[in-house]
Amino acid sequence: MRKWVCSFLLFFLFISDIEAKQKLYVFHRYDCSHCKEELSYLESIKDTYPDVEFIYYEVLKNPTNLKYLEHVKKTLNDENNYVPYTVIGEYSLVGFNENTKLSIQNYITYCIQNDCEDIVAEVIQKKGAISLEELKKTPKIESVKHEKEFALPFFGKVKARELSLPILSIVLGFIDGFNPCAMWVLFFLISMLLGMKNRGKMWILGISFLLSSAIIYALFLVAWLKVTLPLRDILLLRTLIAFVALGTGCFHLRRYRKMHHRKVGCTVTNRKRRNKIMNLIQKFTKEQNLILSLIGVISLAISVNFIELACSAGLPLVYTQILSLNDLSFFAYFWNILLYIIFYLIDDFFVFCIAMFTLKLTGITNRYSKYSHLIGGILLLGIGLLLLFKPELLLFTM
Amino acid sequence: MHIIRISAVWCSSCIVTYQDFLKFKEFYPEFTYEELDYDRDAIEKYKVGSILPLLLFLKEGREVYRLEGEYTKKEMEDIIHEKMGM
Repeated sequence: MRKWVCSFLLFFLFISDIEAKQKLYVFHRYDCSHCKEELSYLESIKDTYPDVEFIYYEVLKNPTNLKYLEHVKKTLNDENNYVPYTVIGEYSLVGFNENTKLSIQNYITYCIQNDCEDIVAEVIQKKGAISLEELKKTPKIESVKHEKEFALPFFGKVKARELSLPILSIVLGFIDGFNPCAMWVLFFLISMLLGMKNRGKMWILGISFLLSSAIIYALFLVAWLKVTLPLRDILLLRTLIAFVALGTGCFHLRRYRKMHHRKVGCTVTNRKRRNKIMNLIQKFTKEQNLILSLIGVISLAISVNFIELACSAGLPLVYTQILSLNDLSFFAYFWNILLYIIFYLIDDFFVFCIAMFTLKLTGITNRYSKYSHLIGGILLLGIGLLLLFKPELLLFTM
Repeated sequence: MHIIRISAVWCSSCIVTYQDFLKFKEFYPEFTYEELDYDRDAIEKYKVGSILPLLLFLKEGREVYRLEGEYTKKEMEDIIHEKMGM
């Protein structure tokens, strides 16, 4: 009889020991660098806190875990969508850096002493969010942003992470716009405009051509983004785009090598198609009715940008994939695409304005266009490899 | 010596090098020059390649040398001296 009582007590103790353990939950993505940092940190402090159970939920590959995260965030009324997302008791931490380490230890110590309410367990059990009233205590959220900062003239303090994506938008936009596939159309259009006596009409037609080119190309980028956004977590698509980046990168490098060994000049392409476009431009610019001229020039911009897109299809697709990997707000998507478009058109705008002010067509030497292929090729190869092996390095906001 | 320059309105390399070509003309008035437009003039007989602008150097109606692409005035002069011993 005594044996029975002792084993019952032991069993009871064992059960209560499990019950007593506090639980620390981390919602993370396998491709997020800060998540990896936190998980390895937590592994290093596990022995220090035997009374705490560490539970990790990967949310990119496991939709159930993602559901749990959404319910927990709803319960905590927390709208950000960053990871890593750490919860212990009623405390949650967004992101991870040196300061977070201290907070984690403080929360753990507090929860061990005060037996915190396990919100995540309740959410999982209920398979849904819990209302604040049902919670015994009010949750506390601590959000940590990664604070590498630069001091820039005019802009003041700027965070490095926030600079990476705009810089990428500028570089890729400039390289994309530097491709000569459609530059000749602008030159020919300007040469026709310079023949006009009506300077006002000259400006209107020229600006309309550039603006409609910008709008069309921006719509292309948005369309690519709409395609890649919902599918961004699908590994197959990301791998596919990685190979598009590698393929386009090789194409650009081959173009560079070809141009390197070849004379510098304008490449003469499809004469028939070029004559067709030239005749159209002549017709539109000689048209007396301004509205008809405008319609002609805008439709020309649309068709030319279709050509330009085919000429550099890789770059916009890879760029929008990187954009979609980063959880951005609507305005952040808008600004980055706007930056891309501005630098995509900057050389055209430069040529146009000089021609309009000097009434002389100023060319751009092709001596350096091969280097846009070199830089573009190297960049695309780098991005392709990162997409394949280290996608987290392309996450500028996590 | 007769020099033919084949270029195009839409070709930025042609625009960029035109000033040098004009200076070259001024410097060598003894040569005769001809300017043809790739899209408007009959240029088939000159077998233009895939690069513009193109400079053809003819002696007694026979092509002795051709220069494709962007060349500065100095580069043109060097070729005249080296290739044609002028």
